[in-house]
Parts: sequence; structure tokens; C-alpha cells
Amino acid sequence: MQQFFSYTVSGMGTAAIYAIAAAGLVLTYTTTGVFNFAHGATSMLGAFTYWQMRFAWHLPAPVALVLCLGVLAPLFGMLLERGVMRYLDGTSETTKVVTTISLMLGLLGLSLWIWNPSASRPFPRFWEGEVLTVGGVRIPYHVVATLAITGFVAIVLWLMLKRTRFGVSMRAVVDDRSLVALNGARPHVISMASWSVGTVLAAMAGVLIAPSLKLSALPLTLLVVNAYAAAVMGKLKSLPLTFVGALVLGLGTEYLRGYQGSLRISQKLMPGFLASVPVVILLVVLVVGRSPLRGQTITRVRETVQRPTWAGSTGMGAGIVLIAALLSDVLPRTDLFTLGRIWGLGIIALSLIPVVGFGGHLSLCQMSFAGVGMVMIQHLGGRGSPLALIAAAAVPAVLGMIVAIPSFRLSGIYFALSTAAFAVLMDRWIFLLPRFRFLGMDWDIFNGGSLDLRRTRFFGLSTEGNRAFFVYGAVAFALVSVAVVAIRRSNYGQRLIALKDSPAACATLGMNIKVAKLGVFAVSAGLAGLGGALYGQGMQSATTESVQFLSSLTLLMVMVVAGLNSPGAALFAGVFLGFGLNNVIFGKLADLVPDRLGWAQGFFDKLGTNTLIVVGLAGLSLGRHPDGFVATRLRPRWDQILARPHALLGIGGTLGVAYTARVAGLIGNWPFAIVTLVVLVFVPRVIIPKGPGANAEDLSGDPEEVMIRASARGH
Amino acid sequence: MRVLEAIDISVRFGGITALDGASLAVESGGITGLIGPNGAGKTTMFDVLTGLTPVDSGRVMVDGRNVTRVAPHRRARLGVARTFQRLELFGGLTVLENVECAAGMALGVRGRAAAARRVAGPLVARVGLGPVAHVRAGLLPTGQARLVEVARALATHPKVLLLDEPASGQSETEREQFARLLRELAQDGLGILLVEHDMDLVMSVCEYLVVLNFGRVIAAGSPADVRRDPSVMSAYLGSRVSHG
Amino acid sequence: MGEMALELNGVRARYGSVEVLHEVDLSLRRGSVLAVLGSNGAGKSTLLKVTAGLHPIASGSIRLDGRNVVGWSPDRLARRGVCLIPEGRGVFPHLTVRENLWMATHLGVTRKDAEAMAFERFARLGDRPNQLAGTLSGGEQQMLALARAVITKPSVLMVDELSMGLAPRLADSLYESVRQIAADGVSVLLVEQFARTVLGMADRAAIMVSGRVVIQGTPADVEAHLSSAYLGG
Repeated sequence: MQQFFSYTVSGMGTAAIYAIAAAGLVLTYTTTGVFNFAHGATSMLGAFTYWQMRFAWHLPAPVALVLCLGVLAPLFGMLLERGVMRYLDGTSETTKVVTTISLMLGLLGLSLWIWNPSASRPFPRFWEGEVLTVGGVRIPYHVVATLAITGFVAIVLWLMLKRTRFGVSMRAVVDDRSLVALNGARPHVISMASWSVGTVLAAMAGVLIAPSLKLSALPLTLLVVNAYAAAVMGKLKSLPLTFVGALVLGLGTEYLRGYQGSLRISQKLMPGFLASVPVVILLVVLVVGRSPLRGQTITRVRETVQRPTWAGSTGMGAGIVLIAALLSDVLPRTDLFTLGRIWGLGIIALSLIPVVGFGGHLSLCQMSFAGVGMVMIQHLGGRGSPLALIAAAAVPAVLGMIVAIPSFRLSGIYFALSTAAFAVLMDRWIFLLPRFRFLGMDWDIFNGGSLDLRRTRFFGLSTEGNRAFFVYGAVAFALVSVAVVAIRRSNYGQRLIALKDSPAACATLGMNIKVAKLGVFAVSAGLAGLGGALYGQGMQSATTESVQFLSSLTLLMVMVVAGLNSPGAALFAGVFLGFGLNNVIFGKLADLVPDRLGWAQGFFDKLGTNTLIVVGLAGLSLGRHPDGFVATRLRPRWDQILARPHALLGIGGTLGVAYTARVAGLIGNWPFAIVTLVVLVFVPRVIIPKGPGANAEDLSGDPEEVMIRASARGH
Repeated sequence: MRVLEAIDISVRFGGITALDGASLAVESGGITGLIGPNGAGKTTMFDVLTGLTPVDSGRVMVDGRNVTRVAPHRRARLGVARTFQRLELFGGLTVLENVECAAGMALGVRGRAAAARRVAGPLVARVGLGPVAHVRAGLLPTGQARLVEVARALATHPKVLLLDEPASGQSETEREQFARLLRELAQDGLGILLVEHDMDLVMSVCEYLVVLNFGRVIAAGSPADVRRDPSVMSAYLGSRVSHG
Repeated sequence: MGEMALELNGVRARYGSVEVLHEVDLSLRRGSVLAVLGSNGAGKSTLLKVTAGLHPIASGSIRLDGRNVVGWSPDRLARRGVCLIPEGRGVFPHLTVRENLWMATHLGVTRKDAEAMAFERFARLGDRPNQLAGTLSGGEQQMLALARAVITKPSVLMVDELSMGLAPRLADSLYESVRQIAADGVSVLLVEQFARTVLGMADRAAIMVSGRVVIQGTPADVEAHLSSAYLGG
């Protein structure tokens, strides 16, 4: 019995922290309509800031707490509202999700920048070691304090939301934003207040939880995934239900941890499962919750991307293969090995195009499918058998259909959360399972945490060498990108886009919506699995880290920034992440900076090693270019260049001369790369100063608009 | 022949009764008008007929077959097509693709692209959208956007076509062309149910009118009869008897 | 100050590329009731949204007590005494009756006074102060929406389709409340599709067809044109 009480006490301590975190999430979601994926990153930043003030600068704890939670956190919240969130009004749910994920990556990057992740930062608990004994049950002081703080937070929130006009206005905004304005309240002021309260709650949760997790950026950021479950139990709108949800979560996890010994489950399966309990609960609540949860209605975003042409896509594919073949001759073996992974990553990026770009379903688990693809190669591709590639596509495809099932009743943010829960479940449990026996067979899914992947042999043709693999990867990428274009041009691809634009019209026109959704997930998960296989074979050995949730988010963000509808963007994503493009670019910039500007060198060096912050900042600027820069900036200019033979000749000639010079050994790889980049990206800019469609608002130059005007006059 | 029939339909949303024992029928080759003041239940009736809203009681019949519990996409394949008052275009696709896509959907899971393409071109021309066939539908002005919805509905080879305010946003000339198109379609044997606020259009094309108010049918008959019906006048103009 | 509480001159408004108000001129004399009639889609609701600052205008001017208020935000207009009861139910369904009334205290009325004023005019609300507004009947919800006008004593009250979805007798009694609010000196702009319901209480009336004001005058002048405006011919 005493044991039960002690489990209850520690479970309630955890529950209290989840409750604070989830309350902040629910508050900002209901009052602003933005589900803040960066909530966990805000907690993390809060914890680090407090640590800095308390333990690095040795401020007294009360001063540090007031500065951190009373001054900096509310200011940061206001800054977020004013600088980022305000511009999300009236944008699509996808844009909102993408923006907060970018913010999450950016904040994570920022903290890795400021606080060296390899240093150890002791973060003792409040009242470490002091214990209160009640009726034989020992309750640590810090648990008492956490419970008291949570009670205090609950009371303050209740008083604010029920007893002040401002708080009532915050609830009123949920019902009808414009009616609030008609009542003389300023909606922006209300949003700003709710972002600052939300940020304070996030930071508070961070400071409270950090001591039990060690001060480490990624676990702290992802911890809030646990709070998602509590928030969803509150249907993302009810604070009391959210508190109940947090209690269920905290106690459930703690009892399971406490009594696992008496359960008749193999002890080997348990550790990862315990960590996944919150996401399992999240999945269950999402999938079988009583009333279907519907996201906001989709605001239609105007796409400016042209339907791709056969000539364009096959041309691009052939070009990629040709360039890859030429490069494989000039690049050193070690670079070829590193570059081998860009194709696999590129194919995983391509797999996002049907599901997110055409279908509009936010899938946050693409790297998990890729991981399953790798696992198939590990277990079936021992002798380089091509059959393993088929399994690497087929098994994820089936998993993809299972992941798609919640989309029948969930939409928008809720569906995105269910894919996130799936990804985290794979990360924390399935990929970490040790060797176990099941159905009379030995299973060792992730090979003890590190896969050892053989490259495929096709009927005697080996891709084992780095040069062969590089060219083979390019061919595979080109084939898949042509396949993606084929999907877009097919009747099925049209239907996917149609479904995104209007489910009601699709149903009344005779389309079986469920079949279409299952299909797109099967295709996209299958491609991701195939991409994962190639990615893993490129690296030859893979760890679970390379396929985790965070990688899915990073890849998605790079794709969003580059353009979710274009294979060119996928190539960019593959090169950027596979080759560490920002490392290369900013590293070079640092070299170019004169030595006396040491700070600038340091700045560029940091940017070079911090992919997250670069991706995050790029994603935050997305709002203005929902179709990405490859599609809206580069493509249109290139279309115009292709129409001008002398410009094309000039560019081709320059590249030819540079390549000859490189082969002849007159210039090194770096000058060659820089010349190529300048010619391909910056010369079009100079020749055609203002690309068409460069300004999404300005339709004056849009050829289609002109056509409409002409036809209107014809009537 | 009655191609579509609603019998004694009732629908409640929470405490509000949207339809209260309403019935109507559409004949092959005939144009029936469904009119009534704002909030009378016209769009709800469309949602019931196409299966987007379940009924609390009553039956929906297509070609004499009870389809009350049949899913929307299956009803579409039985020949029920509609347009939407709040446009539901596939804004990311061109006009031609909108229609091709609809033709493909009606052909089932493996809609043959070539067959769909054969249907789409002539239809786009027929509703008068030939010049804008390759424009993205999301860029069209409302009048033309409504025609895309009509063409898309026709691409499914319907037996009955439900039009929800197809003429709003259309210019005077567009409306005249549209009226001509409706008569042609009816002559080809299509049954049409028309919800429209432009009374000139309704009175000129419909042979039969059904008037809804508070979810009930308050009058039905020829346009001339309905126009003379005092209960229709008061449904539109309000309860109080005129002071003059 | 002039004698006009509200004046619209040459107002154009558009949704996307479609113009829905074409050069609308309308004026509301201080302390009077103006009824704007017309069938669905005539642009009446847009007219009110534009005046309350919820929708931008493309050209023209809007004057409140002689002052140009084009470009003002809805909350600023509300604090200046413009009160719009929007179409549907102008209440917050997940707030209680009492909390809905608190929302209307932006012009400096205390909560207690606000409740007293509202419950005096609408006793049925006083019986259920802690009920969620979304669970009230349609008529009670409209009472709650109108209570905002009672509390704030606006300089201009605009009401959009008060009778929509309500039984005729209920609509009449709500309009009786509007008449009392007008009698307290509030200038009222009514938008209604059921013309005869409001013509009796209006000082002046106008009919809108397809985004244009086609006739403006005394209720008697306007009534003669009703049939053609609604049923065509």
C-alpha cells in the first residue's frame, strides 16, 4: 500500500508538469488557432535560460525565477505574436503547422548554438534531498512544490478566464473573433496576451522538469509531445479536461513503471514502451476518441506551380544522370562516399510530394518509413539481393495505409499529430527493441541500434563501389522523380489535388475518398521506404538517430522552403541535408572573411555547423512563399532562359569551359563549384531581373490573368 | 418519369429543425425550381439528396430505388450530380482538368484517362468555357467558376442535376446563355432541380416550382400559380399585413 | 455636428475580383430608423460589414457624426458607438449569459449596471444568468444580442436579419424591443429580407438589388416597389 502511495505521489508530480505544459498549449491554440509545435522548444529554452542565470551567473533562485518567468518569457511570447504569429491570420493550417515547426527547429538550433551540447550542466532539484513524511509516505519537497505551483497556476488561470473581462474576451475569441472586435476589444492585444501566458507556462514546465531529465536540448523539446496527449484529451479546448488528461497520463505511466515487474510481458519489451506510453495514449485518444476531431476549415492557398511537363521532367532526369556521371569522374572517392547519401534523401523528399504537396495531408513520419525500408535491407538484402528493395518499398507501403486510417475521421492538425505520435512511437520503442523471441522466431529489428547495409547487386551489376553507387543513385532518383511527375499528370494525381481543394465536391462526383487516401499514403510511404533503403546503403551503416522524428521534421521543412510540388526541390533537399550544404557554404564564407573579423568567421562557422537554425529561419520566412523558392523563383527564370538561345549558349559554354578546366587540372573543385553555382543561380537573376510570379500578390504579369481578361472582353 | 424523389424528409441540427416533412420530385427532362427565403432549408435539401447530410426521417429515391442510406459517391454513380452555392472548385487544377477529373471519378477507381479526356473537352466548350480551358480554376471570376461546376457535374453523366444558385455572380448576358443551356439539357432528357434567387431566371425556365419556408413545403405548382399564392408573398415579405 | 448620424457616399466593396456594392449612397438621420430591404444576395449584409469596419471598401466615404471613419478597425468603431448585431446569432455560444453581457461593458458601464439594464429589458435572460448562450432558444439568443445595444447605448445600432429562422410572432416582439431602443434616441439601421415586418416601424426605407440601392424614400414609396424587387417581373 505504501508503495502505491509513493507511486501516486511521483505520478502526480509528473502529471502536474504535463498539466502546466498542456494548459499553455491549449490556451494559445484556442485563442489564436495556432497549434504551437514549438511549445516544447520554448520549455527547453526557458529551462536553459534559468540554468544560465541561476547556475552560471549564480543569481539567487527567486531573482532568476522572476527574471526568467516574469520578464523574459512574457516578452518572448509578445515578440512571437508580433513578429511571427500575427501574420498567420487567415493562412492555411499547413502554413501554421509549418511555421511553428520551423520555430521549433530554429529554437533548438539557437540553444545548441548558445549552449554547447557536449558540456555537462548539473541542474539540481529545488530542495534536493529534503523530504516531507506524511503517514509513512515520503514526499520530496520538490514534488510538494510542483503540486502547489500547479494548483496556483490552475487557480490563477481560472480567475483570469472566468472573472476578468480580458479573460472572458480570451474565451470569446474562440467562439467568434470578429464579434469580439464588434464588442470593442482588440483581437491582437488578446492574442499577444495569450502568447505571453502560453510562453510563461511553457517555460515554467521546462524549469520544473529539467532536473529530472538532465539539461539536454532535444529530450526537453520532445518532452512536450507527452503533453500533447493531455491537450488532446481536453479536445484542445477544455482546460479542466486537459488537467484530467495530464493526471491520467502521469499516474498511468508511473503505475506501469512501478508494477511492470508483476506484468507478464517480456521485460525486454518494456523500457521503450514505458517511454512511449504517452504517445500510445495520444494515438488511442485520436483514433477512438468519441467525437471526430476536425481541424479548422482549410483556407485555400493559391498555388502558382504549373503542371509539370513530360519534356521538362524527363529532361531534368536525364540532366541529373548526366551530371552525376560527369561528377563521378572528377570528385575524389571520399566526397563520392559522402555524396552517395543525397540520392536516398532526395527520394525520401520526393515521397513527400504526393502526400503533402498533392494530397495536403501533413505527414510528420516520413523518416520512420525510411527507417523501416533500411530495416528490410538489413534483414533481406544480405547478399545484395534486389528483392530486398521490393520489400523495402512494400512493407512501409502497408504501414503507410495503417497510418492513413486516422485521416478518415481526423483532419488538419489532429491528423498531423497522429503521424507525429506514430513517428515518436517508432523512435522510442520499435527501433530501440532489443533482440526478442516472438512467434517462435528471433527478432532484432534495428540490429541492436546500428544497421549494417549491403549495397544492391542487379543481375551481376554491383553498385558496391562509391562511383557506381553514385551513378546508380542518380538513376534511381531520376526514375522516381519522373514517376512523381507521372502521378501528378495522371487522373489519380488530379484527384488527389481535387480532394485537397474540395472533399464535398469529390464525394458528390463519385469519388471513393477512403480508397484515394489509402492509396496516396501507400505510394508515399513506399517511396520513402525505397529512399530509406538507398539512404542507408549510401551511408552503409545507419543508426536510429538518422531516421528519428526530428529528421522527418527537418526534411519536411527543407522541402516546404524549396517547394513541395517540385522534384527539383527534392534534389535540393537531398543535397542540402545529405552533403551538409550549409556547412559547405558557410564554411567557405568563413574562409573568405578576412582574419581580423574573427567574430564574423565564428558566426559563419557556427551557421555552418547548425543546420537546424538555418532550416528554422528559412521556414519562418515561408509565409510569403507558400510554394517554395525553387518553384516560384528559380523555375520561372529558367523557363525564360530556355526561350533565349544566346543566353542558354552562354551558360552552357561557361560551364563547359569550367568543366574542361577542372578535368585538365587547371582549377580545383572549389572554384569549379563556385563557378557552377554562380552560373546556375545568379546569372539568371541578372539576365531576368524580376522573375514572373516573384510577387504572389502582383497579378499584373500573370499570363493566365491576362487570358481571363481577354476572354471576359470577348463576351 | 420521376428520376429523383424526396419523400417526407426531416432533418434536425441540435434543436433547430432544418427540414420538416418536406417532399419534392424531379422528372426526367423537366426543370423544377426550389425557392424560398433565406434559411428555408434549400441547401440542406440538396445535402440530403446527395447524401452529405443524413436524414432523421424520410426517404430519398433515385429511379425508384431507395438510396437513403447510400454513400455520396455511390449516389453520384447512380446519376445524381450537383453544384455548390459556396463554390467547391478544384482551385489548383485548370478548368479542363476539373472536368477531366470529374469524368474520371465517375468511371471508378481506375478511371481511364483517355476516356475522361474525350468527355471533358466538348463539355467545357458546351458551357462556354473554351477560351479559359487551360486557366487554373481558382483564378476565375465567380460567374465562370459556377459554369465550371456545371460542366464538372455534367461530366459524370448524371440523370439528375442539382444546381445551387448557379446564376449568382453571372452577368446579364451570361444568365441568358445559361438559361438556354438549361433548356437544352432538359431537352436531352436530364432532370434538373434549380435553387436560384434570380426570379426572372426561375420564372422563365422552370415548369414547376416548390416553395420552402421553415423547412416545409408551403406551395407547389406552375410559376404563375406560385406567384399569385398569398402564402408565398408573405413568406418572402414577412408576416405583418401591409399597412397600405 | 450635422443631423446625419451615418452617411455613406459612393461606397464600393468587393470580394476578390467581384464587386458586390456598387456606388451605394445611404444616410441615416440622427434618432431615426432606416430599413434596408432586398432579397438574398443583394449586398445588405456586406453593407453592414463595411460600415462596422469588418470589410474594407474599395472607394467612397463613410461618415459617422460627420467624421470620415474609412479604414477604422471594428474595435475602434465599436468604442466610438457603432454597434452591429450580425446575421445569425450575435452571441458567444460557449460563454454564459452573464459573461456575454460583460463583453458589452467596453464603454465603461459596470458589470452590475450592465446586468441590471439587460435583465430589466429582457426578463427572460434574468431568469437564466448562468446558462450557456449556445443552449438558449433562438429568440433568447437574439435578445441577448440586442442586450448589447441596450447596455452600450450606441450612437448607431445596425441589426442584420433579426428575424431569420424565428417564428413570426417572436420576430415581431424582438422588433418591438428595437423600436424601444430607437425611442431612447439611438439611430437604427435595419437590414431585413422580410420587408413588411419592418416597414411599419421605419422612418425611411431603401431597397437594394444586386449591390445597388434602387429606391430610397418613405416606407409607403418603397412598399409599392416590393413585389418586383423580390419576385421579379
